[in-house]
Amino acid sequence: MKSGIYLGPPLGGARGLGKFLVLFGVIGTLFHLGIYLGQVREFEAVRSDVERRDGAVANAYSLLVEVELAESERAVLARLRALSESGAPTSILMTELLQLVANALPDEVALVGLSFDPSTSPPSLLVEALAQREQDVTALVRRMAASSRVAATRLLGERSAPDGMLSVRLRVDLNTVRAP
Amino acid sequence: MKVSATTPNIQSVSDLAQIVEAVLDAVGARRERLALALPDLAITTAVFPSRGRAPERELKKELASILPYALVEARCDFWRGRHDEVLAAAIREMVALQYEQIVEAVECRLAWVDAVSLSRIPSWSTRPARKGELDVCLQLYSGHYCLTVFREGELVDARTKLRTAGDAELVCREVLRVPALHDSADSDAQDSIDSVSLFGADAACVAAALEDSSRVRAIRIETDDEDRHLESSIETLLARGSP
Repeated sequence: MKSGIYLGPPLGGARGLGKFLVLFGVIGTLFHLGIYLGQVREFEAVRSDVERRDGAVANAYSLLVEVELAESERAVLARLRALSESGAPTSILMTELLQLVANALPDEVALVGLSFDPSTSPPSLLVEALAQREQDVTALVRRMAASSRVAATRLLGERSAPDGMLSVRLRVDLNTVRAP
Repeated sequence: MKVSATTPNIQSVSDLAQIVEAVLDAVGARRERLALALPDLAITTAVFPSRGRAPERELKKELASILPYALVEARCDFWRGRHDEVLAAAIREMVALQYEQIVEAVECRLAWVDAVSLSRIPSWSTRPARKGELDVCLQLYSGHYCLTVFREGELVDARTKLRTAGDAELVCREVLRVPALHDSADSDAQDSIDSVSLFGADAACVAAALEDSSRVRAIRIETDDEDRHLESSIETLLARGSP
């Protein structure tokens, strides 16, 4: 693990140049190797094409049709799976999330941004808001945390703007299964 | 000197270089490498939870959203903790260059460069922690303080705030907000803090105010002297060796 934050000038200029030269050499070699292999493959393809002559075109066409059918079938299956999972207990309704935020916002706090990230584990909301006082921020976090839909809250930032308002970024981790 | 994150900090680099030169001569320091502990108020910090595996490009984008200047003007670095958290820090290039010019002027080379209060966070994060434990480390200076929060050993917050010397109540109020802001929803001990470690100016006053609140289970004062506290930070940087 790195010892800590380093805010000095960028390190390893000479080492960087050396790495660049080695990388340049490797890329050149790989490029020529690629061209050579491509030519060998092309030669092999032409030879086998000549050998097969009769029926080659017909076979290739039927193979293409099969691939297309298989792909379209997969797409239909994926769509069906998505539809069937939309009502599963682990799904989250967007209207419910909006309701959660609306209920948790104190009167003195203005919502300036809201985004939902399903890719985090668990899925999370990023709430960006402006508050007048620190107590309002505390109240917002408390109300969010009190919801059964919320697994954890994390205050990512609380900064004073020049006009005295507090700019707040709050991450809300969501329970995918609602608590009883 | 006027410490700021956005504007030049040093009015006369040459004058300050002369002072540093005189100090180095006075203490008989060897002219090799100097570790540089930058003032906290010149640094912008942020903690990104669960981003330990994120590429630096993405982290820079996130950091850019809170910087009071453009990302291209920033020099930044990221420290990744054991629990996938990331501590981000940035300094404006023109501010950093002023401090580096002083090191050059006294004919030394730069060793590690970090902020005073950030330097000790990596070593604190290695301390063992129980489930649900909430720990606060508070580094107090006459004009500002740095609050660092660990939940179950994971760094969850690091912030620097201004204060007036002797104002213990303001600091105490901020510490007591921590459980509401950072306790996990399933924690049994809502509204209480397991331990608060205090360093630097007014540590005893803040400790007394926190004891009165009866919401802090253990209070540790590791030092009550600002100079000694700065010394510890520099010792930490020197122990890191070459960057």
